Amino acid sequence: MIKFALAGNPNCGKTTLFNSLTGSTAHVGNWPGVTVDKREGIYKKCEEPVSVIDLPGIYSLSPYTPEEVIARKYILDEKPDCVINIVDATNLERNLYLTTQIMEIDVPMVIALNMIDALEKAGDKIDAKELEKRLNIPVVKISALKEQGLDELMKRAYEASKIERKGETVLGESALKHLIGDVRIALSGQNVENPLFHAVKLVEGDELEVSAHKETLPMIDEFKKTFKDDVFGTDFEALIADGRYKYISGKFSPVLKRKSEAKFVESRSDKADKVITHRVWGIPIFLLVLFAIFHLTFSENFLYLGSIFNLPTLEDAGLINAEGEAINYGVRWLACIYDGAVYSPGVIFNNIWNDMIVGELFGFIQGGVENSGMSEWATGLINNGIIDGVSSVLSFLPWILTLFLFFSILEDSGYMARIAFILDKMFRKFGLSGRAFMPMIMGFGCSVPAIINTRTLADEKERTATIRVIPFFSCGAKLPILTAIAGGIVAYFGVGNADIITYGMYLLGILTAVLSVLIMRGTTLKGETPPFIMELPAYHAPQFKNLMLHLWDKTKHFVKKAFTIIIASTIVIWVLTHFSFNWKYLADEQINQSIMAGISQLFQPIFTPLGFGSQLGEYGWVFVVGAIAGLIAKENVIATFATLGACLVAVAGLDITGLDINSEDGIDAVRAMIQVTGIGVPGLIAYIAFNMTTIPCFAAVATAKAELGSKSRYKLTLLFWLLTSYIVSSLVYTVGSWPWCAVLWAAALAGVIAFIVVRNKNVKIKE
Amino acid sequence: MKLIEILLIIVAAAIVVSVAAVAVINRKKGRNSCGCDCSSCGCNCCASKTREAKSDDETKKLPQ
Repeated sequence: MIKFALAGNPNCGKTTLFNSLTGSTAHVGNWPGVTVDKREGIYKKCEEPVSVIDLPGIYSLSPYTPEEVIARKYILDEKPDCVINIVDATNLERNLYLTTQIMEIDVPMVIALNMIDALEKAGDKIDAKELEKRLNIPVVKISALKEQGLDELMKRAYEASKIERKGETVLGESALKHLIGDVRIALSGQNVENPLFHAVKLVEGDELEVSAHKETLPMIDEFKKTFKDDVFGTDFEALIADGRYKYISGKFSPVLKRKSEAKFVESRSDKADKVITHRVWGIPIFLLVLFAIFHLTFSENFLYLGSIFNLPTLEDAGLINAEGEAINYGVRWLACIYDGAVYSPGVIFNNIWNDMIVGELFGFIQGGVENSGMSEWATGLINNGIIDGVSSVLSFLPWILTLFLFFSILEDSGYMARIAFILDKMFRKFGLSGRAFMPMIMGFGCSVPAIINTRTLADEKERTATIRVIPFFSCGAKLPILTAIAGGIVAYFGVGNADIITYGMYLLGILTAVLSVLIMRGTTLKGETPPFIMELPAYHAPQFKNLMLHLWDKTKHFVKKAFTIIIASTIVIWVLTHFSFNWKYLADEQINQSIMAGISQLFQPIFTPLGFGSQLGEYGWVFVVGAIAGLIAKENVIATFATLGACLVAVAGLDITGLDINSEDGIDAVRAMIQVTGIGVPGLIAYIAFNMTTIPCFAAVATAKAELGSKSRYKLTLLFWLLTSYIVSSLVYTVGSWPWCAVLWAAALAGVIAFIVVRNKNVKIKE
Repeated sequence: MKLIEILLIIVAAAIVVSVAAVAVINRKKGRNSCGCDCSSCGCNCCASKTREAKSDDETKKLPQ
């Protein structure tokens, strides 16, 4: 099968084109660096099937980061039949810089002038035929987003792939032409493939080339000695870059006719950026946006309308009877939207899903199982083990989808890239560049792609530090833990608001990440913070298709996990909590004699300083089981709660007013656990903190292992996660229980910072 | 024990064994070990140590 590679600058629309050509659903984001690995799809409309390879975005063929190496290696070593160079038409001059480098390789190529619709909308025009003539390479105008010009592009690419092409350089008119020519002849004599490309890179002093052609270096150095430039001296890299840009602005750029002759026209994006990326208001605006998202997702008092207007509850209005039941079906629907306060969109979606769909469906199934005449253990396994476990995870789908809908809107609109820019100044003080923010923010979705995205970081130490703190940015799978426990706290203790507790826990995760980075970059991972240069994409209205794809992805992820890993885990947990060591079946009330209780009680004392250990008495081990089950997948924590909560309800003497253990949101399971174990608010918050900062799920651990490279760094990372979670949760528990402990913790933190400062000063003096 | 209960034991055991087996097979094949194949993930890297090792070698040669 013939292979076409898609190459171009970051955020020029490669993945959008890839999706349009192959019908794939690869993740598209409005910021540079979304794609960090190559991916493959099939285009079937040509005369023969074509394998299309989407490469990570690159600004040049001199790579600095791992994902740039992937792109360069593919073009040079895999020898695609054609390179489709995607050029952002709205940024012609800068995009053509990469074009001039690909042109030097002996590979057929076609230029796809993408975003031509946006360019023409702005009133500018590109003479594609003239550009094609000047470049001597086929040029096709396309809009990957609107799927315009794609058939023509592939037709021209297919034709080009059948014709052999020799590399050409735009440096033929520069002062270096003789030097490059001499090196090219020398390399051709050695039968080196792509001699022109390698010659230019060798003259540049590209490190990959220098190490690959060591034997040729003395000769090149001799050639170089004969050359000196008045402006750049012997900085050949700068000389070549200057030569390329001079040629581009002289020969290629004139094909672009701008509507306005003014060199800089302030766009709407520029105007918006004056406020959004303001050095004073930028961060408060970001925190406000983040709070608005949490309020819209979790608040049961939308815009605080209930408190402001003192709205009546459904009970006050006589729509709910003395038993707490709605008087008719319509009121049940109304209760999903309003009860003394208007609910936020996330809560409405959640109520409809759980009360009207999942609750009804699973309630019907559980009723059927109970009436089937099966024995007690079989009914328990199906209802309390499998159904409660799976439904407790599925019940969080609305909240997860709502939250990620808002995050996707921020990403697709281009705001996320601005946040990286806003935070760069702050990050720099902690030893990271703003570039590290993008993988971190991806961590709110899932740690696995976030860890992979750290490939965009050139500095190895910065990358290691970033990988270590990514799990602290609470992923979607941790959301059920947060919301169920926050809901349990509000419902049982009647304190706080679920949205504020959830928001606070997200901020705690961010704060832990910042402090950890500060300590790591001041001690074991010390190093220079690399400069941060990122192109800010233009703002645009989020694409409906992209948003839906992101949400579909999340739905698929959760449903698939619920019916695979979660279902298997709940079965194992149910069996281990309902059988004793001598393999005798135990009723729900007897779970303290189970295998699971026996094993977990051994570990219980370890968690005492964290607030969910021995102080919780004989049933305290249930929290330990949840935390350990979370190491497989974080959704397991709440699935375990649901399974164990059902047993705890049966424990003698349990009486919680209004408790409905069969409700699907896991909150009542938490209430049952609070009632039985006597855990307090500090212990519960510490439990959330522990799950947020401890070793992530096994998929994230495997990814971190692969990305960190060395075994020792991986082991240290595991130790770091364990220690951090232990310290953070014990801090939360002790300060929450005995506020004066805050003084001790502050003193300890000050001591650590003082130690780092003094140590670093001593190191500097020695140097 | 009723037939349906025996069947339940078999199905439950099959679920646990197959989930564990698929996870192990995926990992050996170098596929995403969580198995969700999310588009945002693009992760076929979790266990492909050989390719990573090669990539690391290249990275080490890069200017920092």
